[in-house]
Order: sequence, then structure tokens, then C-alpha cells
Amino acid sequence: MKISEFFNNELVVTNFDAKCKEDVFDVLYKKLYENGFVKESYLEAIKKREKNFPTGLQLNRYNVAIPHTDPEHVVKPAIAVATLKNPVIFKNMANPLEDVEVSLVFMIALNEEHSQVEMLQQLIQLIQNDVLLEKIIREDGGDGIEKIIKQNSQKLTGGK
Amino acid sequence: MKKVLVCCGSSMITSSVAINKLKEVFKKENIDVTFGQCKFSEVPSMAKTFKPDVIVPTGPLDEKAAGGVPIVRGTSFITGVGEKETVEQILNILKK
Repeated sequence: MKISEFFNNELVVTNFDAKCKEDVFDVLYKKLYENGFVKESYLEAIKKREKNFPTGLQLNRYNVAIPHTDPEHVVKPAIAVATLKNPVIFKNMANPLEDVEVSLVFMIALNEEHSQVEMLQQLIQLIQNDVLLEKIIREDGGDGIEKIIKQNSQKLTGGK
Repeated sequence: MKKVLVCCGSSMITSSVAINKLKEVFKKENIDVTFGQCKFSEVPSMAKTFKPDVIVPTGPLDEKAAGGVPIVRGTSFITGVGEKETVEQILNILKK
């Protein structure tokens, strides 16, 4: 499956006014749950996992977090997106003692382990592309973000 | 045949990304490598049974868990920041 198939304008919030990362988890969980992508247990599982194994990524320009959890909490695979009005603090995946100011969150729901490597490679290429990240951050509304990802899906080759 | 153990928190998301990157690297370098993949919590037992030449965790891993096997932190396979250096460190260990 290509990365564009995982994004859906129903699962996007832009310019979200969050005080902390939990606000982001709550709003994205609500979208995933209401649209039938995850089980009720997903939210607690995400929070617990983030505490044990943080997902903040220190990048060149805009920092990103990729919260995710085990497949048992997921019904259908998807990626929910939040762009933040002001950055919120996540802990660094590379070093949980460090804070990372995150502007963009991709909350991943996958229902099979070891699966979707192609999509994951594309997502990683996306977060390593400053130009694309900036376009996404500046976009207002889910339709625009969905469009950016669909338009650029061909360029994101899945590492092949 | 060299053996590389890649591990991450629990759901095999970041370790799958790292393995995919490493597969490309080893293909280019013409090195035959068998991969193992597991959770951080499974590293102590995998270090004994799989006997890797190097362990590549995508986040911090307690050195004690590795049982003397060299560790090269692989978070750069996710961020792209410092990826080249990480690859060099891994290749140096495998080429010894």
C-alpha cells in the first residue's frame, strides 16, 4: 500500500492549539475512533507507549513526532496528522532525557506487525524532506494536506 | 555470514524502517547479512540465541542487555540526521 492510501482528510487537524502532547493524542484519537480506525483501548496504549518509548524526532528544521502502538488496538490502518499552532514538548526517541519541540505529529495506526514497510519508508522520506514538511505545516485544513501527500506520493519511492 | 539484530520499543515500526535501510546498504557493500528483529525487552535472550555481530536499537538500549555485543544507535535511520556516520560505525564492526 502506498502512503497516500493511509491519509484521509477526516483524520487531519491543522493549526491545532495544544497545550501539551496529550491534547494532540486526544484530538487525533477522537478522529481515528469516530471514523472506525482504532479501538477504545488505543488512546491509553498510545500514552503508555509514548511514556516508555518516546517518539519525538529531532530533525533539521521542523521536529516531528510519530506516536504509535501495538496492532491489537487498531481496526484499520491509517495515519492521523496534526499541525500545531505552537510546538509542544515530546521526549526524544534517541534520548528520552531530552526534550524536542514538535510542530507536526503523525499518529500511526497499523494493524499488522512487520507490515507496511513501503508506507513506513515513504513516511520517513516525507519527514526527512524539509520542503514538504513546510508545505504541510503551512496548509490550512485536511483537504490541502491530503492533496500535498497524494501529489508527492510518486516521489516518495519507499526506499526502492 | 554476518548477523545484525535490529530492535525497537514494541510494534516493530521503527526497526522495520531501519532494516530496510540497512538492506540497501549491505547490498551496495556486497555483504551477506542475516537480520534479527525484536523488542528491546527481548534483546537479552536474542543476544544469546541469535548471536548477532552488532545490535542496532532505534532508541536507547541498556548496555547490559546486549551481553557484550557492540551496540550502534540507529535513530538516524528514522531522522536521516547522522545516518552516514551510523552506517560507517556498523560497517566498521562488520568488516573487522
